[in-house]
Amino acid sequence: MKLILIVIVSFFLEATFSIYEIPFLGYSLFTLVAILLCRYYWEQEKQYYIFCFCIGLLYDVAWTNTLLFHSCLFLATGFCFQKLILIFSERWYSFILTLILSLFFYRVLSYGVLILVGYKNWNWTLFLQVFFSSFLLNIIYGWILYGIIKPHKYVLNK
Amino acid sequence: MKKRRKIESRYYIIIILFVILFLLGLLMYFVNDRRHPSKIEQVLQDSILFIQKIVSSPIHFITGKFDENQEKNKIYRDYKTLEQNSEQIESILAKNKELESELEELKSLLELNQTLVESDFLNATVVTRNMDTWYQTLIIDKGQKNGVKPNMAVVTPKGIIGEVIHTSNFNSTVKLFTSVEEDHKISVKIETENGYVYGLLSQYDQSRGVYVIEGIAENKEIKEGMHVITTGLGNTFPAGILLGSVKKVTKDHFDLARTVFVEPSVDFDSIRYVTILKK
Repeated sequence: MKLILIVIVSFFLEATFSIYEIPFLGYSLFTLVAILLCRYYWEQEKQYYIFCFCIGLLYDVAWTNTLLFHSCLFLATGFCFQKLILIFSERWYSFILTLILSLFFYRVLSYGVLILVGYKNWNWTLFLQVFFSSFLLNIIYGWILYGIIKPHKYVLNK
Repeated sequence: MKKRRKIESRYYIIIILFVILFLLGLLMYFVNDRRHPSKIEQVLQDSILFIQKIVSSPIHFITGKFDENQEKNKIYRDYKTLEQNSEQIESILAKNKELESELEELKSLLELNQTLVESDFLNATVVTRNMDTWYQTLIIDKGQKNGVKPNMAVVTPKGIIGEVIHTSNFNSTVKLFTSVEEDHKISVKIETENGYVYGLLSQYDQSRGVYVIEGIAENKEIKEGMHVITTGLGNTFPAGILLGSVKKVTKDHFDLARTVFVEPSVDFDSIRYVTILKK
Protein backbone atom coordinates (compact mmCIF):
# COMPACT_ATOMS: atom_id res chain seq x y z
CA MET A 1 0.00 0.00 0.00
CA LYS A 2 2.84 2.35 0.98
CA LEU A 3 4.56 1.68 -2.34
CA ILE A 4 1.46 2.40 -4.37
CA LEU A 5 0.96 5.62 -2.45
CA ILE A 6 4.53 6.73 -3.17
CA VAL A 7 4.09 6.05 -6.88
CA ILE A 8 0.72 7.85 -6.99
CA VAL A 9 2.14 10.90 -5.17
CA SER A 10 5.08 10.94 -7.62
CA PHE A 11 2.65 10.53 -10.51
CA PHE A 12 0.72 13.68 -9.55
CA LEU A 13 3.83 15.56 -8.40
CA GLU A 14 5.39 15.05 -11.82
CA ALA A 15 2.30 16.51 -13.49
CA THR A 16 2.18 19.45 -11.07
CA PHE A 17 5.81 20.40 -11.51
CA SER A 18 5.70 19.95 -15.27
CA ILE A 19 4.27 23.42 -15.80
CA TYR A 20 6.95 25.16 -13.75
CA GLU A 21 10.28 26.03 -15.19
CA ILE A 22 13.03 24.65 -12.98
CA PRO A 23 16.28 26.17 -14.28
CA PHE A 24 19.31 23.87 -14.63
CA LEU A 25 17.52 20.92 -13.06
CA GLY A 26 15.91 19.55 -16.20
CA TYR A 27 12.86 17.41 -16.86
CA SER A 28 11.12 15.40 -14.18
CA LEU A 29 10.55 11.65 -14.42
CA PHE A 30 9.30 11.22 -10.86
CA THR A 31 6.90 8.39 -11.66
CA LEU A 32 9.62 6.29 -13.24
CA VAL A 33 12.04 7.01 -10.37
CA ALA A 34 9.39 5.96 -7.82
CA ILE A 35 8.60 2.79 -9.76
CA LEU A 36 12.26 1.84 -9.88
CA LEU A 37 12.75 2.49 -6.17
CA CYS A 38 9.76 0.26 -5.45
CA ARG A 39 11.69 -2.72 -6.75
CA TYR A 40 13.62 -2.85 -3.45
CA TYR A 41 10.38 -3.65 -1.63
CA TRP A 42 8.54 -5.81 -4.08
CA GLU A 43 8.86 -9.47 -3.28
CA GLN A 44 7.35 -10.95 -6.41
CA GLU A 45 9.24 -10.11 -9.57
CA LYS A 46 6.31 -10.96 -11.82
CA GLN A 47 3.92 -8.75 -9.82
CA TYR A 48 6.43 -5.92 -10.00
CA TYR A 49 6.47 -6.08 -13.81
CA ILE A 50 2.66 -6.07 -13.90
CA PHE A 51 2.75 -3.02 -11.62
CA CYS A 52 5.24 -1.24 -13.95
CA PHE A 53 3.01 -2.00 -16.93
CA CYS A 54 -0.16 -0.75 -15.19
CA ILE A 55 1.42 2.52 -14.03
CA GLY A 56 2.77 3.00 -17.56
CA LEU A 57 -0.71 2.46 -18.94
CA LEU A 58 -2.14 5.02 -16.53
CA TYR A 59 0.62 7.44 -17.54
CA ASP A 60 -0.24 6.90 -21.20
CA VAL A 61 -3.94 7.49 -20.73
CA ALA A 62 -3.61 10.46 -18.39
CA TRP A 63 -0.73 12.48 -19.76
CA THR A 64 0.48 11.40 -23.17
CA ASN A 65 -2.35 9.83 -25.21
CA THR A 66 0.13 7.24 -26.40
CA LEU A 67 -1.45 3.97 -25.35
CA LEU A 68 1.03 1.12 -24.66
CA PHE A 69 4.11 3.28 -25.23
CA HIS A 70 4.97 4.09 -21.62
CA SER A 71 3.57 0.77 -20.45
CA CYS A 72 6.21 -1.02 -22.53
CA LEU A 73 8.89 1.54 -21.63
CA PHE A 74 8.27 1.33 -17.88
CA LEU A 75 8.18 -2.44 -18.11
CA ALA A 76 11.47 -2.57 -20.04
CA THR A 77 13.14 -0.04 -17.70
CA GLY A 78 11.91 -1.99 -14.66
CA PHE A 79 13.39 -5.14 -16.21
CA CYS A 80 16.68 -3.34 -16.86
CA PHE A 81 16.72 -2.00 -13.28
CA GLN A 82 16.09 -5.50 -11.92
CA LYS A 83 19.08 -6.86 -13.85
CA LEU A 84 21.30 -3.96 -12.72
CA ILE A 85 20.55 -4.16 -9.00
CA LEU A 86 21.61 -7.78 -9.04
CA ILE A 87 25.06 -6.61 -10.10
CA PHE A 88 25.49 -3.69 -7.69
CA SER A 89 25.48 -3.56 -3.89
CA GLU A 90 22.66 -2.36 -1.62
CA ARG A 91 24.22 1.00 -0.72
CA TRP A 92 22.59 4.33 -1.63
CA TYR A 93 25.32 5.25 -4.11
CA SER A 94 24.70 1.97 -5.91
CA PHE A 95 21.06 2.94 -6.16
CA ILE A 96 22.03 6.32 -7.68
CA LEU A 97 24.35 4.63 -10.18
CA THR A 98 21.68 2.09 -11.10
CA LEU A 99 19.17 4.89 -11.44
CA ILE A 100 21.44 6.82 -13.81
CA LEU A 101 21.96 3.73 -15.97
CA SER A 102 18.22 3.00 -15.99
CA LEU A 103 17.37 6.58 -16.97
CA PHE A 104 19.97 6.34 -19.73
CA PHE A 105 18.32 3.12 -20.92
CA TYR A 106 14.86 4.73 -20.74
CA ARG A 107 15.88 7.77 -22.77
CA VAL A 108 17.69 5.80 -25.46
CA LEU A 109 14.84 3.30 -25.77
CA SER A 110 12.08 5.92 -25.88
CA TYR A 111 13.84 8.02 -28.53
CA GLY A 112 14.75 4.90 -30.50
CA VAL A 113 11.16 3.65 -30.55
CA LEU A 114 9.81 7.09 -31.48
CA ILE A 115 12.18 7.19 -34.44
CA LEU A 116 11.28 3.63 -35.45
CA VAL A 117 7.55 4.36 -35.44
CA GLY A 118 8.13 7.54 -37.45
CA TYR A 119 7.03 10.00 -34.77
CA LYS A 120 10.36 11.83 -34.51
CA ASN A 121 13.24 12.52 -36.83
CA TRP A 122 16.76 11.83 -35.64
CA ASN A 123 18.36 14.93 -34.16
CA TRP A 124 21.62 14.67 -32.23
CA THR A 125 21.31 18.01 -30.44
CA LEU A 126 17.76 17.33 -29.31
CA PHE A 127 18.69 13.89 -28.09
CA LEU A 128 21.72 15.11 -26.13
CA GLN A 129 19.78 18.06 -24.74
CA VAL A 130 16.94 15.87 -23.45
CA PHE A 131 19.32 13.14 -22.40
CA PHE A 132 21.53 15.32 -20.17
CA SER A 133 18.60 17.24 -18.73
CA SER A 134 17.05 13.99 -17.50
CA PHE A 135 19.47 13.30 -14.69
CA LEU A 136 19.98 16.02 -12.08
CA LEU A 137 16.39 16.58 -10.94
CA ASN A 138 15.55 12.88 -11.01
CA ILE A 139 18.66 11.86 -9.13
CA ILE A 140 17.86 14.43 -6.44
CA TYR A 141 14.29 13.16 -6.28
CA GLY A 142 15.46 9.55 -6.16
CA TRP A 143 17.93 10.37 -3.41
CA ILE A 144 15.26 12.15 -1.32
CA LEU A 145 12.82 9.29 -1.85
CA TYR A 146 15.50 6.77 -0.92
CA GLY A 147 16.17 8.76 2.26
CA ILE A 148 12.49 8.92 3.17
CA ILE A 149 11.62 5.27 2.65
CA LYS A 150 15.00 3.72 3.51
CA PRO A 151 14.97 0.18 2.21
CA HIS A 152 15.59 -1.62 5.52
CA LYS A 153 14.40 -4.94 4.33
CA TYR A 154 16.12 -6.14 1.22
CA VAL A 155 13.70 -8.48 -0.43
CA LEU A 156 15.33 -9.26 -3.73
CA ASN A 157 16.15 -12.83 -4.56
CA LYS A 158 19.80 -12.59 -5.49
CA MET B 1 20.18 -33.07 -28.68
CA LYS B 2 22.37 -30.04 -29.49
CA LYS B 3 20.72 -29.71 -32.89
CA ARG B 4 17.30 -29.73 -31.25
CA ARG B 5 18.32 -26.95 -28.82
CA LYS B 6 19.69 -24.92 -31.74
CA ILE B 7 16.36 -25.22 -33.53
CA GLU B 8 14.51 -24.23 -30.36
CA SER B 9 16.67 -21.12 -29.86
CA ARG B 10 16.05 -20.19 -33.48
CA TYR B 11 12.32 -20.42 -32.86
CA TYR B 12 12.68 -18.26 -29.80
CA ILE B 13 14.50 -15.58 -31.79
CA ILE B 14 11.81 -15.68 -34.48
CA ILE B 15 9.05 -15.39 -31.88
CA ILE B 16 10.80 -12.50 -30.11
CA LEU B 17 11.34 -10.71 -33.44
CA PHE B 18 7.70 -11.26 -34.33
CA VAL B 19 6.56 -9.87 -30.95
CA ILE B 20 8.83 -6.80 -31.34
CA LEU B 21 7.51 -6.15 -34.85
CA PHE B 22 3.93 -6.58 -33.67
CA LEU B 23 4.52 -4.15 -30.79
CA LEU B 24 6.14 -1.62 -33.13
CA GLY B 25 3.14 -1.90 -35.42
CA LEU B 26 0.79 -1.27 -32.52
CA LEU B 27 2.86 1.67 -31.32
CA MET B 28 2.90 3.12 -34.81
CA TYR B 29 -0.88 3.31 -34.51
CA PHE B 30 -1.03 4.52 -30.90
CA VAL B 31 1.86 7.01 -30.93
CA ASN B 32 0.21 9.37 -33.33
CA ASP B 33 -1.02 12.92 -32.79
CA ARG B 34 -3.97 12.37 -35.09
CA ARG B 35 -5.31 9.36 -33.19
CA HIS B 36 -8.45 10.21 -31.28
CA PRO B 37 -8.63 8.64 -27.83
CA SER B 38 -11.50 6.20 -27.25
CA LYS B 39 -14.43 7.09 -24.95
CA ILE B 40 -12.96 5.00 -22.11
CA GLU B 41 -9.60 6.78 -22.44
CA GLN B 42 -11.36 10.16 -22.43
CA VAL B 43 -13.34 9.36 -19.27
CA LEU B 44 -10.22 8.02 -17.54
CA GLN B 45 -8.20 11.07 -18.56
CA ASP B 46 -10.90 13.46 -17.37
CA SER B 47 -11.10 11.69 -14.01
CA ILE B 48 -7.33 11.67 -13.47
CA LEU B 49 -7.04 15.32 -14.51
CA PHE B 50 -9.84 16.21 -12.10
CA ILE B 51 -7.86 14.62 -9.25
CA GLN B 52 -4.72 16.31 -10.55
CA LYS B 53 -6.43 19.71 -10.36
CA ILE B 54 -7.37 19.10 -6.71
CA VAL B 55 -3.94 17.72 -5.77
CA SER B 56 -2.04 20.55 -7.42
CA SER B 57 -4.30 23.39 -6.25
CA PRO B 58 -2.35 24.18 -3.01
CA ILE B 59 0.93 24.37 -4.93
CA HIS B 60 -0.64 26.49 -7.66
CA PHE B 61 -2.13 28.73 -4.98
CA ILE B 62 1.25 29.42 -3.37
CA THR B 63 3.08 29.95 -6.65
CA GLY B 64 0.14 32.03 -7.84
CA LYS B 65 0.64 34.41 -4.93
CA PHE B 66 4.31 34.88 -5.86
CA ASP B 67 3.40 35.46 -9.50
CA GLU B 68 0.66 37.89 -8.46
CA ASN B 69 3.13 39.96 -6.51
CA GLN B 70 5.55 40.10 -9.41
CA GLU B 71 2.72 40.94 -11.77
CA LYS B 72 1.57 43.80 -9.53
CA ASN B 73 5.03 45.36 -9.64
CA LYS B 74 5.13 44.97 -13.40
CA ILE B 75 1.65 46.47 -13.82
CA TYR B 76 2.67 49.48 -11.76
CA ARG B 77 5.71 50.05 -13.98
CA ASP B 78 3.56 49.63 -17.11
CA TYR B 79 0.97 52.00 -15.68
CA LYS B 80 3.59 54.68 -15.26
CA THR B 81 4.71 54.21 -18.86
CA LEU B 82 1.12 54.22 -20.16
CA GLU B 83 0.33 57.35 -18.20
CA GLN B 84 2.94 59.14 -20.26
CA ASN B 85 1.51 57.77 -23.54
CA SER B 86 -2.19 58.31 -22.69
CA GLU B 87 -2.49 61.28 -25.04
CA GLN B 88 -2.03 59.00 -28.05
CA ILE B 89 -4.86 56.62 -27.02
CA GLU B 90 -7.70 58.92 -28.12
CA SER B 91 -6.33 59.19 -31.64
CA ILE B 92 -5.69 55.42 -31.83
CA LEU B 93 -9.27 54.70 -30.71
CA ALA B 94 -10.67 57.03 -33.32
CA LYS B 95 -8.53 55.44 -36.00
CA ASN B 96 -9.56 51.97 -34.84
CA LYS B 97 -13.25 52.89 -35.08
CA GLU B 98 -12.71 54.27 -38.55
CA LEU B 99 -10.91 51.08 -39.64
CA GLU B 100 -13.66 48.89 -38.19
CA SER B 101 -16.39 50.70 -40.12
CA GLU B 102 -14.22 50.57 -43.24
CA LEU B 103 -13.79 46.80 -42.80
CA GLU B 104 -17.54 46.31 -42.37
CA GLU B 105 -18.16 48.34 -45.52
CA LEU B 106 -15.61 46.35 -47.53
CA LYS B 107 -17.04 43.07 -46.27
CA SER B 108 -20.53 44.02 -47.38
CA LEU B 109 -19.14 45.17 -50.74
CA LEU B 110 -17.31 41.86 -51.27
CA GLU B 111 -20.18 39.85 -49.79
CA LEU B 112 -17.79 38.21 -47.32
CA ASN B 113 -19.26 36.39 -44.34
CA GLN B 114 -16.02 35.89 -42.54
CA THR B 115 -12.46 37.20 -42.62
CA LEU B 116 -9.34 35.32 -41.69
CA VAL B 117 -8.93 37.25 -38.45
CA GLU B 118 -12.33 36.42 -36.99
CA SER B 119 -12.66 33.99 -34.09
CA ASP B 120 -14.23 33.60 -30.65
CA PHE B 121 -12.06 33.43 -27.58
CA LEU B 122 -12.08 30.91 -24.79
CA ASN B 123 -9.68 31.17 -21.87
CA ALA B 124 -8.22 28.05 -20.29
CA THR B 125 -5.74 27.04 -17.61
CA VAL B 126 -2.88 24.64 -18.21
CA VAL B 127 -3.46 21.55 -16.06
CA THR B 128 -0.23 19.81 -16.95
CA ARG B 129 2.50 19.82 -19.49
CA ASN B 130 3.44 16.57 -21.12
CA MET B 131 6.39 15.58 -19.06
CA ASP B 132 8.08 13.39 -21.58
CA THR B 133 9.88 16.03 -23.55
CA TRP B 134 9.61 14.39 -26.94
CA TYR B 135 5.95 15.32 -27.43
CA GLN B 136 5.79 19.01 -26.44
CA THR B 137 2.12 19.08 -25.51
CA LEU B 138 -0.01 20.78 -22.88
CA ILE B 139 -3.26 19.63 -21.33
CA ILE B 140 -5.77 22.42 -20.71
CA ASP B 141 -8.98 22.45 -18.67
CA LYS B 142 -11.45 23.07 -21.50
CA GLY B 143 -12.84 20.35 -23.72
CA GLN B 144 -15.69 19.30 -25.98
CA LYS B 145 -18.28 20.54 -23.47
CA ASN B 146 -16.87 24.05 -23.94
CA GLY B 147 -16.95 23.76 -27.71
CA VAL B 148 -13.27 23.00 -28.21
CA LYS B 149 -12.44 20.99 -31.32
CA PRO B 150 -9.22 19.64 -32.82
CA ASN B 151 -7.17 22.03 -35.01
CA MET B 152 -8.22 25.15 -33.10
CA ALA B 153 -5.41 27.65 -32.58
CA VAL B 154 -4.14 28.33 -29.06
CA VAL B 155 -2.55 31.64 -28.11
CA THR B 156 -1.19 33.54 -25.11
CA PRO B 157 -1.14 37.36 -24.83
CA LYS B 158 2.37 37.26 -26.30
CA GLY B 159 1.50 35.22 -29.37
CA ILE B 160 0.49 31.89 -30.83
CA ILE B 161 1.75 28.70 -29.18
CA GLY B 162 0.13 25.77 -30.96
CA GLU B 163 -3.05 23.94 -31.86
CA VAL B 164 -5.53 21.57 -30.23
CA ILE B 165 -4.92 17.96 -31.26
CA HIS B 166 -7.17 15.92 -28.96
CA THR B 167 -10.26 16.72 -26.96
CA SER B 168 -12.11 14.89 -24.22
CA ASN B 169 -15.26 16.09 -22.49
CA PHE B 170 -13.53 18.44 -20.06
CA ASN B 171 -9.91 18.66 -21.26
CA SER B 172 -7.91 19.15 -24.43
CA THR B 173 -4.38 18.43 -25.55
CA VAL B 174 -2.45 21.24 -27.23
CA LYS B 175 0.52 20.51 -29.45
CA LEU B 176 3.12 23.26 -29.11
CA PHE B 177 4.90 24.80 -32.06
CA THR B 178 8.20 23.74 -30.49
CA SER B 179 7.47 20.32 -31.94
CA VAL B 180 7.03 21.55 -35.51
CA GLU B 181 8.80 19.14 -37.82
CA GLU B 182 9.43 19.34 -41.52
CA ASP B 183 6.23 17.53 -42.49
CA HIS B 184 4.00 20.11 -40.76
CA LYS B 185 4.33 23.57 -42.29
CA ILE B 186 2.64 26.82 -41.19
CA SER B 187 1.97 29.73 -43.51
CA VAL B 188 3.49 32.97 -42.15
CA LYS B 189 4.38 36.47 -43.31
CA ILE B 190 7.12 38.88 -42.28
CA GLU B 191 6.24 42.54 -41.85
CA THR B 192 8.93 44.44 -43.78
CA GLU B 193 9.16 48.14 -44.60
CA ASN B 194 8.06 47.40 -48.19
CA GLY B 195 5.12 45.14 -47.39
CA TYR B 196 4.82 41.49 -46.46
CA VAL B 197 7.18 38.67 -47.30
CA TYR B 198 5.41 35.31 -47.31
CA GLY B 199 6.95 32.02 -46.28
CA LEU B 200 6.42 28.65 -44.65
CA LEU B 201 7.51 27.96 -41.13
CA SER B 202 9.06 24.57 -41.57
CA GLN B 203 10.49 23.63 -38.17
CA TYR B 204 11.53 24.63 -34.69
CA ASP B 205 15.24 24.41 -34.00
CA GLN B 206 15.28 23.15 -30.43
CA SER B 207 19.00 23.69 -29.88
CA ARG B 208 18.83 27.39 -30.82
CA GLY B 209 15.27 27.97 -29.62
CA VAL B 210 14.13 29.52 -32.92
CA TYR B 211 11.58 28.86 -35.66
CA VAL B 212 12.97 28.32 -39.15
CA ILE B 213 11.35 29.82 -42.27
CA GLU B 214 13.00 28.40 -45.37
CA GLY B 215 13.03 29.14 -49.07
CA ILE B 216 12.21 32.86 -49.19
CA ALA B 217 12.91 33.95 -52.75
CA GLU B 218 11.55 37.53 -52.58
CA ASN B 219 14.15 40.29 -52.60
CA LYS B 220 12.57 42.56 -50.00
CA GLU B 221 14.96 43.44 -47.23
CA ILE B 222 14.37 41.51 -44.00
CA LYS B 223 15.87 43.07 -40.90
CA GLU B 224 16.42 41.78 -37.41
CA GLY B 225 13.47 42.46 -35.10
CA MET B 226 10.78 42.49 -37.80
CA HIS B 227 7.54 40.82 -36.73
CA VAL B 228 6.45 37.44 -38.07
CA ILE B 229 2.70 36.76 -38.05
CA THR B 230 0.32 34.08 -39.30
CA THR B 231 -1.31 34.56 -42.71
CA GLY B 232 -4.59 32.79 -41.99
CA LEU B 233 -4.06 30.55 -45.00
CA GLY B 234 -4.41 26.84 -44.49
CA ASN B 235 -7.61 27.24 -42.48
CA THR B 236 -6.06 26.38 -39.10
CA PHE B 237 -4.67 29.58 -37.66
CA PRO B 238 -6.41 32.96 -37.98
CA ALA B 239 -4.46 35.76 -39.64
CA GLY B 240 -2.44 38.37 -37.84
CA ILE B 241 -1.30 36.44 -34.76
CA LEU B 242 2.23 37.16 -33.66
CA LEU B 243 4.71 34.29 -33.82
CA GLY B 244 7.91 36.13 -33.02
CA SER B 245 10.52 38.45 -34.43
CA VAL B 246 13.33 37.93 -36.91
CA LYS B 247 16.58 36.98 -35.22
CA LYS B 248 18.84 36.13 -38.13
CA VAL B 249 18.70 35.86 -41.92
CA THR B 250 21.00 33.56 -43.90
CA LYS B 251 21.35 32.84 -47.62
CA ASP B 252 21.68 29.43 -49.25
CA HIS B 253 24.83 28.28 -51.09
CA PHE B 254 23.59 29.60 -54.45
CA ASP B 255 22.46 32.95 -53.07
CA LEU B 256 18.94 32.30 -54.36
CA ALA B 257 16.79 31.71 -51.31
CA ARG B 258 16.97 32.95 -47.75
CA THR B 259 16.38 31.21 -44.46
CA VAL B 260 14.93 33.29 -41.64
CA PHE B 261 15.38 32.37 -37.99
CA VAL B 262 12.59 33.67 -35.81
CA GLU B 263 12.76 34.15 -32.08
CA PRO B 264 9.38 33.11 -30.55
CA SER B 265 7.50 35.85 -28.75
CA VAL B 266 6.29 33.32 -26.18
CA ASP B 267 8.39 31.77 -23.46
CA PHE B 268 7.46 28.11 -23.91
CA ASP B 269 8.88 27.14 -20.54
CA SER B 270 6.31 29.04 -18.52
CA ILE B 271 2.81 28.80 -19.96
CA ARG B 272 0.10 28.79 -17.32
CA TYR B 273 -2.93 30.33 -19.03
CA VAL B 274 -3.94 30.18 -22.68
CA THR B 275 -6.70 31.34 -25.01
CA ILE B 276 -8.33 29.06 -27.55
CA LEU B 277 -9.44 30.70 -30.78
CA LYS B 278 -12.73 29.07 -31.66
CA LYS B 279 -13.57 29.13 -35.34
